Amino acid sequence: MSFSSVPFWLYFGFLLTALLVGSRSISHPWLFLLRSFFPNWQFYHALGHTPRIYWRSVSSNADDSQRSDWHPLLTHHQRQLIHLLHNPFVNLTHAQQTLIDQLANDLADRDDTEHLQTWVSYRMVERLVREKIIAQDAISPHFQFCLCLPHISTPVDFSKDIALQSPLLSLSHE
Amino acid sequence: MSDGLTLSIRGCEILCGISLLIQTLEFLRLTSVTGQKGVWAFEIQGGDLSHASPYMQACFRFMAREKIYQAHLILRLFAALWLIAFGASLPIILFLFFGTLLLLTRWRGAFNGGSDFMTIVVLTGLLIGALGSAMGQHEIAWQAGLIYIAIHSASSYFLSGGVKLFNADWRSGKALPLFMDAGIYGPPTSDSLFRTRAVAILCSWAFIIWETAIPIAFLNPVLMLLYCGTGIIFHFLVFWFFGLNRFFFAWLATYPALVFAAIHLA
Repeated sequence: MSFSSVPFWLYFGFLLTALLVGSRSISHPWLFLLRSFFPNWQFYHALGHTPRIYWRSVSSNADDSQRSDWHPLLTHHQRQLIHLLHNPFVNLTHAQQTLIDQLANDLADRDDTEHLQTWVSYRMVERLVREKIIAQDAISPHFQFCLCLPHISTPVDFSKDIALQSPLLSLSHE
Repeated sequence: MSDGLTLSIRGCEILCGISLLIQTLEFLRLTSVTGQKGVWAFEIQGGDLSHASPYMQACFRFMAREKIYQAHLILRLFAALWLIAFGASLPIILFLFFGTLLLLTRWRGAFNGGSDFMTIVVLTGLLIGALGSAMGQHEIAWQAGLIYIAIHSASSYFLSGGVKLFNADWRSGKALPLFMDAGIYGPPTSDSLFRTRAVAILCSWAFIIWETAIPIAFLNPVLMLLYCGTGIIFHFLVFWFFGLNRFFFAWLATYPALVFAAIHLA
C-alpha cells in the first residue's frame, strides 16, 4: 500500500474517533423503517437489560389465586446444521425478540403512554402473546402479559423488573 | 476489464444471489406471519406508515395483500436465480433492491438486523455497478460498486471489534458467556469450555483483534484472503452459537469486494 492510501487510514481513524466520542441519535418514522441504510454495525456490544415478555393464564376475573405463574414467551430452539441453509423459525424468533425490544424502546422514548394500547409495537406483541398461548392449547379464558427488563447477568425478579403489565385480556378475541 | 474485476463482480453476484435465495425461501415459509391473522398483519403493522401520504399508504397496502406478497416472493426467487446464473442486469437489480426495501418496511425496518443491512449494502453496490454500466461507464462503475461494498464490510468488522475493545466486560471475558447464556439455543452446559475464564478471555480477545485488524488485511491481497478465510469460520461460529445463518451468507457476499479492494490498494 502506498502513501496515496492516506485517505484509507484517515477513514479508519475517523471510525475510531467516532467510537470514542460517541454519536447522537436522530429519530423519524421513515428513518426507523429505512434504518438499513444507516447501520451502526455494533453487535453484542455491551451488557445491559434484556427485554423479555412473560405471560400467565387467568381463569377468573376476580380471584387472584386463579392466576398461574409467569411463563417466558419465547422458548429455546434445538440447534441443527441444516439451519445454516434454511432457518425460518429461529429467524422468526429473532424477529419476535426484536419486536419486544421495540416495545421496550417505545416505552422508554415515547411520551404518550396513556395511548400505549394503540401503539403498533404493543398491539403486535399482544397478538404474539395470544398466538403463542393458543398454540399451547391453554384452557383459561383470560391472560396477562408483562414486559420485564432484567439485567442480562441476573435472572428475572418479578418484584422489580416488570416495566409494563397488560390488563386482563381475553384469549378468544382482540 | 481486468480478470480480477470480472471475477470479483461474479463472486459478489453469485454469493448475493445465494444469500437472497435462502432469505426468500425462509420468507415463503413464514407467509402466515404476515397474513391477515398473523402478528405482522398489515392491519396492525400498517400503523407504522400513518405519517405517510394516503397515496403511499395505499401502495404499501396493495403490496401487503397476501397474494401480491407471495407473488413478489416467488418473483424474487427467480430474480435471485437469475442473478446467480446470468449476473446483475439493471432490471433484476432494481427489482431486488426495491423489493428488499419493501420487505424490510413490511418487517418494521428489519427482519434479521445486521444481515438485512449488509444485504442492502451489497445490493446497493451491485446497483451502482449496473446503473453505471447502463450509462456506458462499465469499469469505473463496477469498481465504485465493489469499493462501496468493501468499505461497508470493512467498517462493520472494525466498528464491531472497536466497540468491544472499548468495553471492559468484553476485555475481561465476562461478556461472551453472558451473551451465550441469553442465546436462542439456550445457555451452554455448566461444564462448557466457555465458562472457563481463560477460554472466555482468549475467545473474546481473538474476536476483538481479528475484527479490528481488518485495515491491516488491505496491505496485501494474500492477507485479505487469509482474513476472509478466518471470516468464514467466525461467521459459522456466530451461526452455530446464535442461530444467525443469514449473517453467514450476507457477509460472505462481500468477500469478493474485500479481496478486489485489497488488490486495488496494493
